[in-house]
Amino acid sequence: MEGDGGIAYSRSEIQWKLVAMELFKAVRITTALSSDAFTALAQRYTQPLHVFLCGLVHDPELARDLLQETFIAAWNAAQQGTAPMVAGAEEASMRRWLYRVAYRRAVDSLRRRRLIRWESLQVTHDANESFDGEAQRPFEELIAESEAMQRALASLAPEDTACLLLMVVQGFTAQEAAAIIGSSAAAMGKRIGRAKRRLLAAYLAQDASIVGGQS
Amino acid sequence: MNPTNARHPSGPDCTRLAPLLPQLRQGTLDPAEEAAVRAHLATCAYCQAELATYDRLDEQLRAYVQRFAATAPSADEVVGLAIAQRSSAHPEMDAENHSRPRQGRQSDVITYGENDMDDPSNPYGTYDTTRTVPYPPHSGRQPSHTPRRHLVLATIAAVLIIGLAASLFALFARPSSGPTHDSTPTVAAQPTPTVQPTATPQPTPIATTGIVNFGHPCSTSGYGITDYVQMGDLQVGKVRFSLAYAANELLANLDSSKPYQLPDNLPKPPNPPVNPETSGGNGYLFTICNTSSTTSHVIASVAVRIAAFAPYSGTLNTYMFCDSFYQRPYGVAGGGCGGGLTFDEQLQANFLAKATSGAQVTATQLRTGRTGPTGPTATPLPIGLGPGQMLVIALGVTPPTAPGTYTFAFGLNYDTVISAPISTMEPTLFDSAAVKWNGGNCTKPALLNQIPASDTTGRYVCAP
Repeated sequence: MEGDGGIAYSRSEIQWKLVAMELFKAVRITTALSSDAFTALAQRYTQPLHVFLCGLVHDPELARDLLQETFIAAWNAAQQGTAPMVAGAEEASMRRWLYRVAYRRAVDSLRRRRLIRWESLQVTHDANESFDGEAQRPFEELIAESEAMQRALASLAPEDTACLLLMVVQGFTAQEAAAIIGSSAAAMGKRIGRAKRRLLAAYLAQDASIVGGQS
Repeated sequence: MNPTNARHPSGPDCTRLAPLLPQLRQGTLDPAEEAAVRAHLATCAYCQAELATYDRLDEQLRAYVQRFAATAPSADEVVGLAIAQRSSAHPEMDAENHSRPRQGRQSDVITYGENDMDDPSNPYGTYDTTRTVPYPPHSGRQPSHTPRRHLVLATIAAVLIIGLAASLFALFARPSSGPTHDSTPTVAAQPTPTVQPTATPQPTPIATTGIVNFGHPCSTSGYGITDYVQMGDLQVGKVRFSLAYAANELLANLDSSKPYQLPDNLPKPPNPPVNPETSGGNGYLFTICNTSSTTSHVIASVAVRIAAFAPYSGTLNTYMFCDSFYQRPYGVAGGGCGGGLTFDEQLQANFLAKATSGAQVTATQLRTGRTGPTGPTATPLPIGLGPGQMLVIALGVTPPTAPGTYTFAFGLNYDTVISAPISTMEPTLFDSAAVKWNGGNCTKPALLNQIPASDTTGRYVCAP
């Protein structure tokens, strides 16, 4: 049978394609992640992802938006039965997927605009209640350290910051972090070393200017 | 943080090995490099100081970002909005049980190419899993149209209206000789009678350290708790695990000299849960909502009782899903769990080492916290819980030392009621001597050689 667009299919080929499409849809329905499983996933990763995004964009409000977008994408994937957001998939795979989407959202956001940030001291002050050791430390010292770390992180490339946050804070292996950022495991080894050196230099410069290099 | 101590002269090897120090904790050095670095560290004070500096940098980084944990939205909020967003964008799909092909609206659809990282044939990304993700275009904060923004604005408006109404009420309706509300924060109203057959009246009212009167509306309840116990006005969520990361029990007769291929049917969550992390005030969580519209109640303390105990003997092999596994061709893979906890009260119930069935302890206060970016920080128990307000309690339990299956029952002391039963947890196996299997242990040559080179799907773990 000749087609108008230069691609020809026989009637049986078309029938087989229709059958295949129906089968595909059926499989997709049976593998869709349930709302309960999705909720459990969100309960486990909402806060770590939020922390990760805050470390990338340094703005809790923007991080909340990006987090929401990430879970919207995840829920769409779950409803469409798109791997790895499917029933029975490894949670580690879902976790990497979430971080990868969140990372891309954050990088897109950072690239679209240069942030003019409103810096709130509220975060440091509020969270102070939850840290046994830090609760005893001078408030001004915590503020200074927080600002120094924030500025030091902001001076790094987003890929370096993400590498640090993923491997040092979130505990991902180099292979996993590479998959999230879109790199190779070997490159991640070099990147984490370089990122730490750069962060240390930037942090010490900030630390010295703010708190006089106190330990 | 002090910079590296420059008084230590760098030796000839430092130039070559010091640049590798930042990678040492991340496991990204190859075995020869790591061995050389560690051997050098043993004798080089300069590099020891350098490594200590990087360790402190790691700690500072973790502390910095963890401060943002308090600003995270609740998972229920995130899930609710995600589902609502999809329902509004794809009503036809939800109505038809998601069976229709995806048809994104061109006006509000952004296409992303999020690669399937778990396709073994393509770990880094050429597999076409382009998805169409409906959500408002995000072009900066000003034009954000997320429903959460609307919720926030609506909440602010509601708070302003309530505040205005309260001010007017205080101005015109307050008795001239009576105390103001703010002047008596520690006095809780008398409780309503409760029906608790096992309750024992307490002789005197409980003095509170404060009262929760705003910022914790019961409507924000969630935390995944769906089963409640009603105690008069108090709706108490049944205690559940929270960030406990319980392990699975593996077969008892595993050969520790061989890799073990994880079965695909490991129960999630583990059944029975094994060695959940219940120290430091973490592991269990429940909420208390005061459903009264007029009356405050005093939340005094939480009691934990060993309702049942069955001793365990023999070797307990475990695998926790947050641990790694070994899978060719990736090597050590998986593993790692994050998570943070928001709470108002964080408590720990410590049983004596030899306690057994029937023993009961009252949990002690570890710290207080806050459950949202706008809510107030709680004061320690006992605390007054205002009408319509909620309290989130995170709780850890230090079990006795005898290995075995413990069933913990939780009770609430409130108002004049003591040990009102909340709920009983599922039997949980605790054994501090459990053998923890993971993928990292499989990198020893003797074990690694036993994993078939052709097996690219099996997930293996090994004993320490």
